[in-house]
Amino acid sequence: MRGVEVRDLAVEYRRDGYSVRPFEGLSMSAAPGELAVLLGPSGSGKTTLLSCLGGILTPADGTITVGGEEVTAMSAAQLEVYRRDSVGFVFQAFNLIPSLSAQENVAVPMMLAGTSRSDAMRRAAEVLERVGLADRLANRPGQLSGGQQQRVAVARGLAHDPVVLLADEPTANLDYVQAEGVIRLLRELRDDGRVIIVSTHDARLVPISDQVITMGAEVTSAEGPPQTVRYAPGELIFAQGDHADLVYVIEEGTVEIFRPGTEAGSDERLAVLPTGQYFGELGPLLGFPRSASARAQGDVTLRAYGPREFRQSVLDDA
Amino acid sequence: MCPVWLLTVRDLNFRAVRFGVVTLGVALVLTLLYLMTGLIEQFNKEPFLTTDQLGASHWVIPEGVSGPYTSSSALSAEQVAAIEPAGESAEVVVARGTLTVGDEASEAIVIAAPSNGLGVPEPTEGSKPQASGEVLLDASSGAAVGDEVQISDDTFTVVGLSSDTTVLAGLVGTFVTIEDARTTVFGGVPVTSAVLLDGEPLSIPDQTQVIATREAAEDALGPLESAVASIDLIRVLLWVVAAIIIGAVIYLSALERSRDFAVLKAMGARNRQLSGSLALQAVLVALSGAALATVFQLLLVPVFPLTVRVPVSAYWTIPLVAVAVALLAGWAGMRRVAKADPAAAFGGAA
Repeated sequence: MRGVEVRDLAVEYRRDGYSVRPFEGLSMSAAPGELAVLLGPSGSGKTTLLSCLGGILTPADGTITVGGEEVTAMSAAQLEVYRRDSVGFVFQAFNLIPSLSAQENVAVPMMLAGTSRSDAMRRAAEVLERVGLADRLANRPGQLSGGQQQRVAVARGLAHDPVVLLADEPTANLDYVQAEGVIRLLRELRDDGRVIIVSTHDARLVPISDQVITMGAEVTSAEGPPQTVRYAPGELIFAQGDHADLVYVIEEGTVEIFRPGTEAGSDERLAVLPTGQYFGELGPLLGFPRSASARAQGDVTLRAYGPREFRQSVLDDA
Repeated sequence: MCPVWLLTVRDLNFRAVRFGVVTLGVALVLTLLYLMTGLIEQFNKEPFLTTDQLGASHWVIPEGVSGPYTSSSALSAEQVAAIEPAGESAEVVVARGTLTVGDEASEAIVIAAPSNGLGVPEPTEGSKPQASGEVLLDASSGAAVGDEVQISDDTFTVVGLSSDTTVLAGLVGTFVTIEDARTTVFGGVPVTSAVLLDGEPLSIPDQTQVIATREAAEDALGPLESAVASIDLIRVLLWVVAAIIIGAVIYLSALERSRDFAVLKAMGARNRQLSGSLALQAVLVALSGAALATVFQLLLVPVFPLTVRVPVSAYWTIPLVAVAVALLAGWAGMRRVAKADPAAAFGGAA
């Protein structure tokens, strides 16, 4: 297909001693003329997915196909050409070059890709007119409002007529008046027949989108009365990165909280909790995955609460 | 106009004040380099220009003496009489003396020979000393024709001026008649320092030697060797300063533009193009600094206390080396660009 196809994508970041997978097994597709919104909180992997789609980041697993070409199979040099010819970027911070005029900002990437100056400047004027900035061609970014700068950035992303336009939080640095202008522009651009993928945590974009891809674990908090659970010595209670839905209070025994290392035996112990302590409360309350693992030391009896129950019965009593 | 050029020039324009200040700094350093180079050139050429103007091809001097300028040995009257010249010849006296022009006394080199022969340079103004009490001075002495000057305790009238007749880093050539020299410097003793010859002599007496003009001139280079070496060291240090100035500003530029570079890389720009923009900035700073320095040194050379002779070759070697130094110094900045991560374009901070 000519659009965007993502199959079983997984990304892994290695930080000092531990690894994080913002997402795994992610699949999506978007057809030409479709505006897809990646919705999710910070840290849910929206920008990471855009980086993969844009050929900037190589995923650990899975395939990405854009315009019939498999991006995940490309060499570094092919990726350079792919980024130059098939992808348009719009960034949260606009990222215009401060020393260049609006028209030059749009034209320079085309010139760097080999288009002649006169052709690039003519095309830049056309695209800037398309985004409603025909009278601002000679202005530097410093002389433009945030909304205008973002429209220049959109024009830059579109100038070389890419298969897919990737916009990372395009409205995050804008007030609602300017954000509306950019959202209206994105809606109009969808009709040009390219794929537009927008990452955002701004729900205002949802009504104009053709599909919404929700990123990050859904916040499904466990409901119902607390339950008593038992663990054998050494048994894992939960692992780092797991979906977090329960808060535990230790009724008997001790629990070790640790951060699993990237190699066997390199676990980093964070705490050992005695009877009466509770743990794992932040994940369910905030909707984050588990930030560390928990393991029973000896026989352990726990009382497991849903976050609302926990707040009402444990925190309020304390 | 290629995009690398456009990016570079617009950025230079955008940071015009900083690049202006840096260019000025580089220009001043390069001006000093022009002056130091000119100084060394002058030190190296000075004795040859002076000695050539004396007109001789060979000098006869006492044996065991390195040359006429650095020692005060004399030939005896018998030795002088025993020399068989092939052509013209002249007895000369070469000695150090004190020259007072106006109120200012300075060391000078007194060279005395019979008038109208070997040993007296052609005046650029006025005439050669013909009679007792007349002197021909190097123009750098500051005296004018008609002035009265003192050599040791005796008063002389300046009858002519010559140019490029100094030795040993600016000692003024002071040309008087040989009789006056013997009276003033040696209290009337008929001393002869050397005999100037046009052409190799047919024979010379024992305990004398013949040296060519070039060797006579080289004698005056010896005492300046350590001065020249010191100036050479300063030249190296000045290049280091120029490199640090250019390197620092290019590195700073690379740091400030790292997001620009990340963005352009995300959009498919090649490392070579982006490093090229920084390299071009370094080259432009070096070349404009060199151009300014060329003008500055033209203004400074006339007022510099020592004679400075900037060699023609310096007008292309200094800008060329400046460009090479700038590229070398900008290397760290260019390395940074190569390492810029296109993923850095994402994120909220501007």
